[in-house]
Amino acid sequence: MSSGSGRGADPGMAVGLREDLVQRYARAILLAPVGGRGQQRLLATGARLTAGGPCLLTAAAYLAAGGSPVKGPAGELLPEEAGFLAPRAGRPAALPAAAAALNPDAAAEPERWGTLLALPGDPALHRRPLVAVGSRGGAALLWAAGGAACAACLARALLDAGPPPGGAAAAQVGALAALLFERLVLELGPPLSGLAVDSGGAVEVLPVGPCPHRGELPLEVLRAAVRHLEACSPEEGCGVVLQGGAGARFVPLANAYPRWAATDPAGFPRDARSAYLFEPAEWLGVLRAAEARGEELLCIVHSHPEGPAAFSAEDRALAAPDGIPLFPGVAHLVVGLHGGRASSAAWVIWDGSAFRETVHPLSA
Amino acid sequence: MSRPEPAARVDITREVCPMTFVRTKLALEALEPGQVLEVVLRGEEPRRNVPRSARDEGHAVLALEPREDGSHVLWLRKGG
Repeated sequence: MSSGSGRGADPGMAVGLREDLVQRYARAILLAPVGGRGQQRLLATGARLTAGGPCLLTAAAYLAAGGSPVKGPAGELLPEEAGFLAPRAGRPAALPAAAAALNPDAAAEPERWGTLLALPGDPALHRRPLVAVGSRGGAALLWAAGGAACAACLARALLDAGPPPGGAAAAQVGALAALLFERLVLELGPPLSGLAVDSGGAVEVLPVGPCPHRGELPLEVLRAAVRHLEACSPEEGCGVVLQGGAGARFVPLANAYPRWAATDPAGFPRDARSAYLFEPAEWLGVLRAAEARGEELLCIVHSHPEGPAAFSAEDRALAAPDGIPLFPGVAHLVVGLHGGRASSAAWVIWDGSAFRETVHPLSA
Repeated sequence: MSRPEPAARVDITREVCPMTFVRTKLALEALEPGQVLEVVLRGEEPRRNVPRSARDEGHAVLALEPREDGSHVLWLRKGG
């Protein structure tokens, strides 16, 4: 049996909280969904701001007060654009210093960083948990994305968004942004959620439809892809799946690796049995035709003849050079072949920080 | 009367609200579901509020018994 006295630190330390932190965050620990472990997560997850301005600085102030580290964009923030973190003397101050004055824990280096993103901006370039703040049609817009949210759905939700609101509305929207960020850290909400705040301050929960970018390909599309990949065996086959109003369709593409290897053997040392490349001219033509037909790129398909249905290190490097995905909202389907027949398949999606693989069934 | 052997014990006799339940809650968090926590408390406020708050968060109150020194012992079973 373990024991803890009233002044002892045992109960707090058992969940990873020092005594001074237990004292400082006692009110938050009391909240049912937070507790000691939740408070620990809030302390361990920081928020990087992509911009200053009253909206994001208000959010940063709330997060800092709750114990989450905050870090601002480079440069100093002018008093007239600062939120609650503005120095009272009216002099410019960098965000980390202002946050530290509010709460020393907010200047710590956390275990992981998330993002407060001022729109317009590309969410695929920033770490999650991510809360994007902007506006559309006179209303403020907030979208919150955890690690499991579909990058393509998030990108679509943020399309054509304007900058965050200023003035008095910034205080309300900034507070909501902090709340959404904490909800993601505590894993209390869905992986993707959105709010709209009208000019009168009324808050509306935005609908999140079913994700068309994940899960399983329609069986006839999968069969078309598998037929092509099996026909290419023992070489790697490749192609794409396009999604339009009339549904999804598989478009086969030539494996151009042998042609590149023939012209540059040192630069392309493998062969078509273990590597693939799209032919650039053909690939561009497919993308142009898709755009003309109002289709989106849903999935990139390739095979591993006599190999596993797994996204290899080379596949990852090709899909996300320098760790940044070329097509963040686009899935990859990798089909493993044995004896020229498809034996297994993996569905791979960029979750905002890494590629995640799941098994894709090959039959109904 | 036999009691299940507690997995942990916390003394909150020197605490005041809200730290009485903060200590109890942190001690419960460190346990596995089904394990028993023994809480030593003193005074009307924690005697009333700690069992109620524990119940509100899904834990079972097994017993609350007075001791000779005027304090009370509370046994809580952690909920799943």
